[in-house]
Amino acid sequence: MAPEQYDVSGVIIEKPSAASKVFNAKNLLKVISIVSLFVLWALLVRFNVYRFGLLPTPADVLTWGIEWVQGKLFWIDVAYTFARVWGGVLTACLIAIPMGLMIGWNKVFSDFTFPMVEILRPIPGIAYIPVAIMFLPWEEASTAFICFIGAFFPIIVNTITGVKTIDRSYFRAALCLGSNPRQIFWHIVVPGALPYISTGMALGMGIGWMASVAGEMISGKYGLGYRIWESYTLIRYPLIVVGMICIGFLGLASSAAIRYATKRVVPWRKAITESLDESITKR
Amino acid sequence: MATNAQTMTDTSDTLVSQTAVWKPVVKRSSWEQLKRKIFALATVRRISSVLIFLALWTVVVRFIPNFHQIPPPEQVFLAIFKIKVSVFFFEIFRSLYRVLSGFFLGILIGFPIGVAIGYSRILNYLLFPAVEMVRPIPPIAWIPLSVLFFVNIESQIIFLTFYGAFFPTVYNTVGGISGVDIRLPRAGMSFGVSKAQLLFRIILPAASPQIFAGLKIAIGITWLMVVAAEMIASKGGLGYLIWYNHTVMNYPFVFVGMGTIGVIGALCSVGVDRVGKRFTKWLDIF
Amino acid sequence: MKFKMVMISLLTVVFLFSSVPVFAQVISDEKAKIVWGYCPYGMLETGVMKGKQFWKPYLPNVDVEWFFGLYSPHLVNNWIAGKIELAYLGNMPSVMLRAQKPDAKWVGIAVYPHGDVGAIFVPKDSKIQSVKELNGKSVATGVGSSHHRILEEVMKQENIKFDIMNQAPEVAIGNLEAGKIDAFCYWPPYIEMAKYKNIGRILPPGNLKKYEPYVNAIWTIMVSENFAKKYPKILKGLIKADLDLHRFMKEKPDEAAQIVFKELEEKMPLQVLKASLASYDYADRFDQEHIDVMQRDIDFLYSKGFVKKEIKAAEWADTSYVKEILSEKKK
Repeated sequence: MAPEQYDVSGVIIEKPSAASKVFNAKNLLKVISIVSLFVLWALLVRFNVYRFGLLPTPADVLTWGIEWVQGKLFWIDVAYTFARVWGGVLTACLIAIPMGLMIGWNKVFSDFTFPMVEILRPIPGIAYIPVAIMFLPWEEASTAFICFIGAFFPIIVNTITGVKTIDRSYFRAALCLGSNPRQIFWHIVVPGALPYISTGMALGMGIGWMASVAGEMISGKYGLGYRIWESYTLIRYPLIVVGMICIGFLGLASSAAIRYATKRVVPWRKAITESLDESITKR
Repeated sequence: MATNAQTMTDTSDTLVSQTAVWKPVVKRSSWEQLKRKIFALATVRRISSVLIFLALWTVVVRFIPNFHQIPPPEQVFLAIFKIKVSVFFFEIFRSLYRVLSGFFLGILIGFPIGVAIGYSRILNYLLFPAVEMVRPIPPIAWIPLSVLFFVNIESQIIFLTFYGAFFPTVYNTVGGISGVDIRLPRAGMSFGVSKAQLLFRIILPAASPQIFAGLKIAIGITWLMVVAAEMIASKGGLGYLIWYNHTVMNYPFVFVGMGTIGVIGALCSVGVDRVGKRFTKWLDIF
Repeated sequence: MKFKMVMISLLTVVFLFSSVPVFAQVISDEKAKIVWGYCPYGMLETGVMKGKQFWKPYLPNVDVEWFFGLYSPHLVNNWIAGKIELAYLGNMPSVMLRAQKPDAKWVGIAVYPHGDVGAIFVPKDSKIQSVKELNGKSVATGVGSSHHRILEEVMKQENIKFDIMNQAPEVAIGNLEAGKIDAFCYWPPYIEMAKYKNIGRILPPGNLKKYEPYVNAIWTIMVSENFAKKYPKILKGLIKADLDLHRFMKEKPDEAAQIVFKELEEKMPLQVLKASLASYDYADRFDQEHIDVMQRDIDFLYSKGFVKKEIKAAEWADTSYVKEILSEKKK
């Protein structure tokens, strides 16, 4: 039989067109989900169900939001909060990742350092506010410190877990091939822990944004979190919601940015532990 | 050969040697084992870790002029004895009550929602995007609005703790259920299990490690939320004590409060961990 | 038998006579449970009202449940949430409440602070020696609080310009000690607390009397329209109690400080409280003078955009209760 005579209809899969990727039932349901959230909010406030009447309506929030975004103050706020969070989280990465690798790798170092990490870990970041105020010489550093504390512990815990869950076979193989400990560290431990490290970094970034709201209670003038607290004092409720949504959005974007950046570095991650890893990552 | 490999003891220093060396098992009495553990070099090192930290703290406070407001460790230690014990324990129990109420409420509401989202495709598309949209908003940011919304301060704080527990629970439940190895339900179905049995006896147990990991995160965040809520909007509880003592510049008590929060938070985490281990005894790694 | 009857009637007469003064004062014997918002850290005398219960002779059956707020804005937010209808508030929070809830009436003057309630502190090692040298620096206070306007007034009168930073008082005290801010200006008891703990140096002249009367303010008693309609007599009794409170604060300052000390659970030193209470001034009338003072605050908030519409203090103030009580006293 000639090739044209074969019936290949069951074999060739139609590649879905770009349009059908976007406009299908699945996405419709997702859109319905998001839209119904806003509709529910608007209805609850409008009809004053229980005590929802006291909260701002989506329309209020939108009006305030548009007005606010056009002002210069908003972008100054964003810049300050951004700098504080990224500064705190990146510092946490710089300190926590090497520390975590060493703790996972070397038992002596672990014995000297890990107990203190475990003792300090349960203390929530917000409880450090008095310490941050007393402790740091300049204003911005106090807020960045709270973000640092928030991000530090997830990153270090994830790094340690990453090191400890490296398959032992890799070490045996390396020893068979005659590597010395330093080579094993740089070629097995560090790459092997990278999936968990990137998970931890994304997680830490998310928690850093959360901590920024707490940390900015003590800030004096600028910052999205500060704007939320100020709006509470000045009784501008829609602005509180605008601030909340902005922080949420920026936090999500920052986490996604870190995940994207680390995906290039850790291409093998997808194959091994996608589901477990993905859920922790998105946090 | 396999059983011998399991008896590897890690008395050497680096990770490398842990995988390469193994020692034969020697039977020792439990008292002997305890003594060995206590006087082992590792324990000495661990204790000295804490001591080094305290020493660093004292040095920093004494010699760096900027930090002279921070009380040195002895002051903090002495402050422990100045606390009125009854008041202190009352506040601890108040905070704990709020944490546990919020936590269990979060599980009660979050867990079924998580199962629904993880299990059914339609509910996933209908509910998950909304959850994902609300999730990035930091729980602390809800405090101002919750003051408006709730009549009773207790219900306000319990809402905030519930909020803290809700999202990790939902998220990790969904992750756990969707991450179940597809072969397990298939095997179950080939044995002819009913839908209910499929859910309760196959999928949920397979998802439970991740669900419990989520609960551990949830209790941590719940505890954080209680402290935050009490600092800002309440009169009573540990968070309030810390903020209050900070207001009247009674810094040693601030540190005592922080330490207590840490201890109790750790106990809660360990509690959840133990419960989780009980449910997942079939896993060696957790 | 006769002896018993005589004794009983004698006792009854004595009892009646001894209670006559009480009955003569009573304004209303309604039985009610009311919620009164107070912030004992910012307005110290409210602790004395809570401790001494001055309303009891006038309103024997009224139970007051005190609603605590760390700062006035907390009380305002809870008012808007419908949890309280009667509160002691600072001057700025009262205006902001009125802007949000037009039915909140201003019926009494809790404290009439003058220049004593503010003082500017600088770090110990600061080079600033006088208020004029604050030009171009940053000063911390509560934005939207009474001292925000006071600082603006200082700027205007001294012809200087400095940056105003929003900090909570305890945070600012810590920051001042660490030298992170150039100066701060808060209300009692933080002034006395800073002096007591030897944090920073107070700029001469040590208070802000120089800028009177423009730095005067009115800390109010606010009540909702609904409450006033429901309990007019009780309201009158409470305002009368407040006037008694003023007298008590002037006549027995030591006892008052002791009561506040207990109310704050002995967490602030007694001498701090004594000195703070000494800086308060009280108003025994409710006149045009006070209305003008409040109008200045309203104009300030309106000019800063914190309040969206113009409020006329003359229309907002309800001087009827105070006037009625004072005219009764004259009788």
